Amino acid sequence: MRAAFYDDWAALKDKLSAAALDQGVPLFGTFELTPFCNLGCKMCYMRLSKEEAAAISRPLSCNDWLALGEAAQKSGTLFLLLTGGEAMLRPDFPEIYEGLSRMGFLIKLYTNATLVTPALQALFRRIPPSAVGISIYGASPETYERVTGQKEAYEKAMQGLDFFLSLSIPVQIRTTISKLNVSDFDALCAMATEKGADFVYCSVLSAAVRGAKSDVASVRLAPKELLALRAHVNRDLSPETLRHIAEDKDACAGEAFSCTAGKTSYVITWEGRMRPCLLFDRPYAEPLLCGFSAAWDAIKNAANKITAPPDCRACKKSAYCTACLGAIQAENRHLDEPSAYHCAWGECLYDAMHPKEEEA
Amino acid sequence: MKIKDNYILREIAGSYMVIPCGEELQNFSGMITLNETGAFLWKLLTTQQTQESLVAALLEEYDVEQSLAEQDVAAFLNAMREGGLLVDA
Repeated sequence: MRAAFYDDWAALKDKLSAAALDQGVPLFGTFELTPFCNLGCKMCYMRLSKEEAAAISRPLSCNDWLALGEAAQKSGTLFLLLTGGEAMLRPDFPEIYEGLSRMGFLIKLYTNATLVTPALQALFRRIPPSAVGISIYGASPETYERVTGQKEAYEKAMQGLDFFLSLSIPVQIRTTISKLNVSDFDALCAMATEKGADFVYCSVLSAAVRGAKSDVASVRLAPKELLALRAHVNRDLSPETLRHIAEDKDACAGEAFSCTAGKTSYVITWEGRMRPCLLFDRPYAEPLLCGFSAAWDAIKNAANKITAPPDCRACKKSAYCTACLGAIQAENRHLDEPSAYHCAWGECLYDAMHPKEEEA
Repeated sequence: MKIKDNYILREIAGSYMVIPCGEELQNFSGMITLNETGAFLWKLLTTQQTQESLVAALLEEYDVEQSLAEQDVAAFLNAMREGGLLVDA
């Protein structure tokens, strides 16, 4: 009759993940509460204008999200990520957040932290999320202006970041590195260290998806710039560094999805469609129409049938490739052929790792 | 005694987990997992119980000797108290 108090999150998560994979349980959910954002990042993969969104569908209501929460809870979702767009743009965000927080999820929130009003601060003090990921786009107002179009957003984001840190919950600084802010990389690392936050970055940026438009092609790092960043971060590009990537790839050889998408995780995008991940346009299912369980079964089955492009499956340099199927579909709008951008980056990485072969 | 409000017992992928909700998330310091009999006692404790009523329920539900049932109930209640999860009437 034991009650085990788990402080070791990683061990518990691993145990649950393994059981969920075995049983096909949707342990990890993401609710994309809105396609709208108060910032105008040039590289954003999913932001829509009101007109663009209206041409696609209508955003779900508060009651829709709470109904989906109830269904997700019954189906076994424990880890629930709330994201956008900027979720706090929704006037009914407090009702959605509080309602979901009473259903027995461990809620993580992704936000740009620029809209944390006193009322929302009071809400988060009363009911803190289990973790927060804050998108920080630069280490100065000038960089924020270049990336987001809003110089003043920097100060607001810093205030929001400090607020969430004051809650004594895990805070992660998440940043998207492009040509517009790569010069701030070290300052962003230093900011995270100084403030006691985790730091993660994404530098291989996805093309826009699901009807969104972006300038990603003009602002994302070229392969040689990605290589320079990786060399800067890792201090070296030794074969040992890359060996781990190759081993990870071997471990999931033959599987279309090397991540949890469609196995133990799903997303529900702003218009109510369940998808394997945020980058996928198709397949999707409509849980509010067919029921959550039927939607999850459909996504699991569809994800299981998706295959990588034939050239990717035959590629001898796949161990050096960072493209996932979502990124390839985002790039090409189909999975018939590889993503030229990701191939160029993989080739660049391969060449850097095999200087002797190149010389020979 | 009973379990404090704002805790939910969930069965996820074959494991019984106690999840804090709402305002109790302020005090969240770790996850609790229960085995089947722990979950049985937890469900009883969502309404007022005594140590004796829990032992009696356990004896009725499971083929177990009284002395062992008493030890197990005491150990369970101790763990719940240490976790700050019990409210005494």
